[in-house]
Amino acid sequence: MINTVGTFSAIWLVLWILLSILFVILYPLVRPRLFALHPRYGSALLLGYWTAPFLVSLLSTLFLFMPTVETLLVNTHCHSDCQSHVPLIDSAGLAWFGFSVGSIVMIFLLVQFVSTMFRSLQLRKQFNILGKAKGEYYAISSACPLVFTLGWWQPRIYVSDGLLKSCTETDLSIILQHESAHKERRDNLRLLLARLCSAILSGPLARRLMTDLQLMTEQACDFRAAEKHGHIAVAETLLKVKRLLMAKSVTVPFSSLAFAEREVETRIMALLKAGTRISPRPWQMGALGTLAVICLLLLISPLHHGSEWVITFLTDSPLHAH
Amino acid sequence: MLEALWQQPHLDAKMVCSRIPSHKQPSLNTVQSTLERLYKKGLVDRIKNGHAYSYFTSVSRSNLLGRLMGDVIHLLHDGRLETILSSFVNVAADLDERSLNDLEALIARKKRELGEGEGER
Repeated sequence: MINTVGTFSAIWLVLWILLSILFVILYPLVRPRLFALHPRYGSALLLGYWTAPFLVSLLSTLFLFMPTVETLLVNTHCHSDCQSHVPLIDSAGLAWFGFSVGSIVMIFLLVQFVSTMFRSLQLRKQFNILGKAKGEYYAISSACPLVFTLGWWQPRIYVSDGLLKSCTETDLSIILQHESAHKERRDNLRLLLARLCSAILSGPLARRLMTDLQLMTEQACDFRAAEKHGHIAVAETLLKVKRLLMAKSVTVPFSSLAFAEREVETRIMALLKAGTRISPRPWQMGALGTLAVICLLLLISPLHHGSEWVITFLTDSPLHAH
Repeated sequence: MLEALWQQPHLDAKMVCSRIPSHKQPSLNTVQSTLERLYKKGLVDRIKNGHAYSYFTSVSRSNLLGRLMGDVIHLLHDGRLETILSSFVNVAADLDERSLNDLEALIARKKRELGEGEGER
């Protein structure tokens, strides 16, 4: 049992690391293409891109340990006898090592998820007590001109009195349209998913990925609001709220967020050049999805043989139980 | 509990407990320990009244909200809320007045272009 779990963990983790490295290397090539797309598609593909190393490694390792899938996808080959088999580590030490590292990673992800969930619930509780429900949003009696969407599964919109007082009806409608788009798309949940699935990355790399994803997500909501109010009106509202934040000294000195620099400027420029963004056709998205599934299935055989080769190399012994 | 104390200051733990709606009323022990925690956090103050303490809030509702918003702004800035909360615009002071004016001019130009385009049609 421990050999199976240990081998599973080791293969999944090594594959996750290798795929993450590959995706990081390819990102400078992929990024401009994603940012050339309409943000609705760009944000979905960007999320897919950064969750892919985790999901592909997990799925392909699961397939690797499913005898029926394995028989179909792995080239027929024999070791000492010719039964169907999965790669297994024979060394108890290595198996325990794989199991321990896998468990630590899973516990780390779980702790991250639970602590974020706790913080989210705590904030929501506090704002719900201190805010007043007003139709589709909660009004918060604060002079800070802030508006945000909080929560994952059933997000809520919170608007401060400071913002309500400084906005025209059109501004408020644009802001609520933008925030409703966050709500419908469950953007906070998407960002959480991306954060957890890319937990292997850290420092500037992780920041860059989250900043790009946040930027694309905001652009997707800007474009959604623009469908009703027009791109210029949304750009004007963005600028107005940014000015308000700066006038009321709500902004925080710019320091550590190197990649988030001039976010509002980037979003306004995107709105002004909205016509240049490409919307892929449904068949193109379908073809991309099919290609991804084919790549996943084609990965199983090399993964099987690669794992066997690595196990033989590490243990210097015949590698699997039949 | 803070809500109860905002509505009626100088209450002891028993009175606070009785003012919490019955469907979510905690035990007296929970109320006492929560008041103790609020006292340590500086959100309530107390004076000895016989054997019991009489509690009153040391922050107003708007003051607490201000603090909470301040926390949100800082957490938003350092990225610790990125997966919980989406804000309409970021709070980093990453644009100066000149950049904002340039953007305004750009938007105005685009508006004129679009207006002219529609006029020509």
